[in-house]
Amino acid sequence: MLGTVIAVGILVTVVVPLILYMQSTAALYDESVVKRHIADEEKMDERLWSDVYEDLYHGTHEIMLTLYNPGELMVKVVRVWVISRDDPLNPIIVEGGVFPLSLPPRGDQVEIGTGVIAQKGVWYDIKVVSERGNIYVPSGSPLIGGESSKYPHTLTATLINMEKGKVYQIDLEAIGTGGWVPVYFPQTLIWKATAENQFQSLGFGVNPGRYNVSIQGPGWQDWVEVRVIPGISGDPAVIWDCINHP
Amino acid sequence: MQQESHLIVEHIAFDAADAYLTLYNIGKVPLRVTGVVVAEAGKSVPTPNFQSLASLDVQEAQTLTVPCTVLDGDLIVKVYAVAAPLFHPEDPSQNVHWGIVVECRCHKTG
Repeated sequence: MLGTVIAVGILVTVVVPLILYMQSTAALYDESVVKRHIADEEKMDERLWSDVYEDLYHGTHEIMLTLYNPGELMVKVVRVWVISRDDPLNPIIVEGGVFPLSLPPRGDQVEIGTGVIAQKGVWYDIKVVSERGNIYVPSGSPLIGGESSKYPHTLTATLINMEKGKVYQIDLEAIGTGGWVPVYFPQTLIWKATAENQFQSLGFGVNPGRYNVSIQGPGWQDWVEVRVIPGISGDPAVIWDCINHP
Repeated sequence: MQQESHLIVEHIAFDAADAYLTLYNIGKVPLRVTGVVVAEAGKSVPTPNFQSLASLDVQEAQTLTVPCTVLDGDLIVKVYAVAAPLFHPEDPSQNVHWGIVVECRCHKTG
């Protein structure tokens, strides 16, 4: 009888607390493992679309970035690297100011100036670092200073069924750019059809933004608004049928 | 703490004698960097002399200068770090097995 009481006493005072302690320790370990898995998965699931360009329109030649978060998770950009290939050992690290910059899922695209002035003919590698440790290289990188023909997107206007000998004029105008600085606008392209039912595509290099594309055919005109959003619209295209025109 | 330690090599640059590594602590605990090795890819990677090379707070980035005598080719960079509370200043190698090792490959052009 006494032996049973002692055995129960040992069980209650030593073994049970020990089991509880071991279980809570294991639970703490499991919790930290799960947290690490969540952090790793969030890092993998993070998405950021970015474009880089040089501000030639205002003549400042500042290296500009647009950022857009198409994913499901908040993205926090902590800094941007601008590395001149002429001086790779002294990269410019852009942080502070607007950084860290929080980009909500599918929020507005954000345009930021890096404060770095591109030198003509110099190549720049740009990378964007997020709080989770992802490193993104924007489209448009490497950027060549003063290289006006390097645009991240191409807007194509296609004319079909043109009449021989008639002149068609396409005007491209930047409107409400949402902070984006378009380059060399407005632009005009004129095409004279040299054959009946001629087909012609005309391309414009553009930065992200909103554009008004208008056409003047023989005795008719039309226009359409095009949005160029990094990672969404890709290279947008407009097609006009010049016989069945509006 | 090992589960909360996380580090990336954010940037690497080279000159003739050194490698410049920018390390970024993306984990949940402060870290001590105890060793960095830069070696030719495909060859045995030496074990570093463990010592305190840098302290990295959470979300801190820091650039380290590491000797690199390899002139060109593919390189392996190995960074050893341990959570700061586990770091033993008298014996930096003591808790290495509770630390993390970050390895990356890069190419050096001579």
